[in-house]
Amino acid sequence: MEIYCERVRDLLNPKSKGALRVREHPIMGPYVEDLSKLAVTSYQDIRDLMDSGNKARTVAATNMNETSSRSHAVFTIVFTQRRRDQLTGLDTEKVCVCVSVQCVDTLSVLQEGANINKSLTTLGKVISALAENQTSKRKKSEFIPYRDSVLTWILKENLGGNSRTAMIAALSPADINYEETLSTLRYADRAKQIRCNAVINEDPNARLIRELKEEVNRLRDLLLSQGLSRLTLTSQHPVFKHKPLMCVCVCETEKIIAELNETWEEKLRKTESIRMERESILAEMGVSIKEDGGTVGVFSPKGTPHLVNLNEDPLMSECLLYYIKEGVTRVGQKDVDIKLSGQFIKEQHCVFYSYINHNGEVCVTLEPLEGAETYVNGKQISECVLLKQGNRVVMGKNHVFRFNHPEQARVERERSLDQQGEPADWNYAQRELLEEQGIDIKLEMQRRLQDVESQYRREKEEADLLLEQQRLVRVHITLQIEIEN
Amino acid sequence: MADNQSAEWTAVCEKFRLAHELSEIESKKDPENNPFRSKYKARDLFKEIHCSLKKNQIEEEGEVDNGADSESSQTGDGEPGNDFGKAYAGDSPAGLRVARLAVVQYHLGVNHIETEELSAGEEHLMTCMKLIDKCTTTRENVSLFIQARNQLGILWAGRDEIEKAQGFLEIAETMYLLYMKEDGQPPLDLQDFFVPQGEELSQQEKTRRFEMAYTHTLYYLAQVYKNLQQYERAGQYCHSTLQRQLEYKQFVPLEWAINAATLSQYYITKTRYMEARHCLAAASVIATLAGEIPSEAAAKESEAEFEKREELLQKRAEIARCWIKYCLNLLQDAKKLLEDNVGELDSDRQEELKRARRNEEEEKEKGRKSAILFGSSDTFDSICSLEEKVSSMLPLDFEEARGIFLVGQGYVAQAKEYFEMDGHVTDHIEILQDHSALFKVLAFFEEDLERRCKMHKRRVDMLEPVCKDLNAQYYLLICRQLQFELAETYYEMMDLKLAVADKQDQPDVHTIKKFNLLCSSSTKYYQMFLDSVRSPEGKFPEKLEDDLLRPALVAKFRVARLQSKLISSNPASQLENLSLSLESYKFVVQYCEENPEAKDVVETELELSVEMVSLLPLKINRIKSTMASSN
Repeated sequence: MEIYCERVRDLLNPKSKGALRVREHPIMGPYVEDLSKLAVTSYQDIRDLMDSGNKARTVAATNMNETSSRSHAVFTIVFTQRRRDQLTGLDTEKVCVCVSVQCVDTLSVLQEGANINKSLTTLGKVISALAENQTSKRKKSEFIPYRDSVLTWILKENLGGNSRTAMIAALSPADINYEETLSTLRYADRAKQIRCNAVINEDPNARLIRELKEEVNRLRDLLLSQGLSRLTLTSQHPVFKHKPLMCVCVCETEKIIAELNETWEEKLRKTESIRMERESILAEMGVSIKEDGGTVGVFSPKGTPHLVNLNEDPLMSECLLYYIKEGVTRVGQKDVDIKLSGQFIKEQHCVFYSYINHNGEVCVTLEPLEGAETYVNGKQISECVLLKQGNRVVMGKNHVFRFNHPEQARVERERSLDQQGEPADWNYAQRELLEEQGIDIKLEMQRRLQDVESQYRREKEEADLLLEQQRLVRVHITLQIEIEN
Repeated sequence: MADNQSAEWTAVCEKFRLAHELSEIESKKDPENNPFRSKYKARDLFKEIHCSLKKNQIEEEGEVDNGADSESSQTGDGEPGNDFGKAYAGDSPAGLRVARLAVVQYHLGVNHIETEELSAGEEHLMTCMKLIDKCTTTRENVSLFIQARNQLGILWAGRDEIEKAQGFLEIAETMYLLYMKEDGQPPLDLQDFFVPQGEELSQQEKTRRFEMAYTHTLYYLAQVYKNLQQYERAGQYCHSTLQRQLEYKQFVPLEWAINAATLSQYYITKTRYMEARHCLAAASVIATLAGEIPSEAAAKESEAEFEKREELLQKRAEIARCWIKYCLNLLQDAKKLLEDNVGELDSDRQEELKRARRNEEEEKEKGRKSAILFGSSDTFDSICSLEEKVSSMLPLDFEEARGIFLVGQGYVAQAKEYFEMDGHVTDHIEILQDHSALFKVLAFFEEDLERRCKMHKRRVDMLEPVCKDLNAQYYLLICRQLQFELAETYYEMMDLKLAVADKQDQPDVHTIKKFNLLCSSSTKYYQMFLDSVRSPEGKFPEKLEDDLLRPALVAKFRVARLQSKLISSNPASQLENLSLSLESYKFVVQYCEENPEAKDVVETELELSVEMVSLLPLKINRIKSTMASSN
């Protein structure tokens, strides 16, 4: 291709008209769009191509030079060597890129560097040089909107990285060109020094160095004190009987060792064992722990019976889990394990008992306390009831739960795979509740609409608020339960 | 003048007009293989004019002009305005005749230079200069005086004889100032010497051309000072050039805007933010004068529209990038002022600077007036209102820093629109790096450690995917920069996490895991950087290149530190980490032993590495003995 007045032209494709665009692709690298690529098999092929390319170049006749090339020409050879490794039978490929660049007469275009630009249109170039000059010492922190010339852009890769670059300058022997010859040589000298290197800007090391110095000092102290303690051991020898000194030394050593041990490793070891325990318990309690230690969310425990909340809004249903641990679980507003709020919840509302029966199964019973409204499957209960998997439990008017017994559930699933009943959700529990109270739902709804609704709303808001709060502090609650146990 | 009306004179004028047209207009249409055709034709015409003038001269004053060429040859560089030894008054008929000859010589000189015959061109220009120097400087010849010296200035600068160029140009400058002080009337333009009576240029046009010549003088001087490494002065002259271009409406909006934006970058490096901001605001405003951006549809229709669209979008994106650098440097310079010796915000210093600033408020107002302002009345208001959108004072606290950060971030988004990854890889990544640097410096001002950590996370998020996708074969240097920056960012995050954890009473397992993850991510990128230095066969070079020396050794040093920082409760893995760390420290020490020139580059790091190499085994042995005793 040739670069003439900053426009790139394909010299090997006579059909190609107009300027080609230079672009960069993240994978393929810098390239000239639509530039012809021709395969060759011999040196002769290369020469022929070069010849035909040269013929297409822009050449001008002037008084000074009959064939003065006005453009930069670039000829790229991509040389690929493929080798089969005899031992492994693997093919390897080596690619070598040779770029030959022929620049125009230095006089007309390559007058860069120290020379003066004539036209005001190059003011930007001057200012750029000014700004760049200021920062050559410090790290590059300005942006120069003066585009590299296409030639520089193409050469960039050749000037940095792993390539070798040779430059040939052609000079005129005529004395009338003395000054020009000199400046060409000066130019060549400057070009020789061009290197293209991206600077790596490091962060200052100050903090790291301070840290390390501290550590070095600690280790040195340790070394010293070890030396001393060894000394104190050998000083059992009668010659060394300066007991007080020895004592000081031993104390000192211990102090330093303790200090040294006060590292993160130590702290970690202390907590690691606790963590293991806690994680398994948390998992059992419905909180799963991610690989990096973060919590993932609620999941049903595999063994412990528990209550899940049901809510009018399906999205808020089954968001809370309450565990019925072995022994007694109290429900109410005060001094209880499961704290509920609302007008119809007594201070001590009801009690769950969990025990292992003679068959080795875990059984849970619910006992309502006096004066507290508690319903199981819609029926108000007044005495101890054995709970089964899937039972609906309503406390007060608005706290609706489903009782889950994972082991019973498993047994049930095995027994009846096809029995898919209606899901025990909020609606189901509410309807059931009303039906069991012997109330015609429609009539009742109409009748009680006004007075119930306002109350219900108020209470629901409270319950929702509580739900939110509990959701946030859930982990803490479960932990507390754990600690109390 | 008597001969003005003669037929002969009319012919001369016509020739001059034609030569001028050939040289300035026709020549642009010359074919590529014969680029100077019109210039050569023009040259012949100028030569003919010269002959007729000479003939006239001999006819009219044959007796006077003997050896005029050598007579005043030594006064060529004499003080302008010094009238001693001048043969003619500039406004006398004889003076005019001489000036006319000089104009032709001038054109011949320029013509030769333009056709690459520099030495011949120089001779003509010198003759021209000597001719004018025979006359007193007046309204008639002052423009020629300046323009001839402009040309000689460029010629000599082209030959790297900067001082010589400086001489010519400074005389031109002094002459302009002197003339404007003593006369100030619109002077004759070169063209005015060869027009039939009544066809002279208007006063306005005369002024315009004269001022343009002087603008060029200033511009050439800017370059001379640049080459003489008088950067401060060069900057002033560039600024004046831009101001004058605007004042005399001699500018292409987009070009001017880019130049002003570039000048802002010069001011940034000089930490003159008020001037930098003024340049940028002017650049943004003037760029809008370049017209509407053609729509995508229009660009598809015609090549010209496509190119116009491309150009406008590109230049605007470039101005945006200059703004980014402005914001970034403003923040970074403030950081440098405020940081203590480990790079943390020094609150005493902060208070002190805030107090000092209150006192400076008044000073600032004064500075504002003396600052060199751009813009005619029609653009001035828009420039000022754009300036008000971002401070030019170094930010001293998070709120101020945030304001500047947000402006910078806005320009990042704007610049990325044009400089997309596909097609503009290098530019796109440079913008990302700036964006990352903006976050980095903002983090410095943030007091909350968790939030600071999140800012660094943003840096990782923007750089990591790019680093993964980039082909290191073509973008090796960029890849290295990205790897290094990612390694450092992870390191920073790790430090922050540790600081957060230190404040907690109970070490939290989550934090420790996170910490280890950050540690190993940082190590990973340092390692990638180090691997990029290896030969294709995987060998680490025996001798690192100069510009890689420090980064590579620092990377190794940091890897050593990171390996020993990994937290593990398992003694076996502790042992392994420490051994790896020891290996890395040993590497640094060994490399410096084999390449003593490296010692100065990594002095402190080496010192500490030596210490660690001698002390780490102690720690390792302790762990070994605990392991042995617990078994």
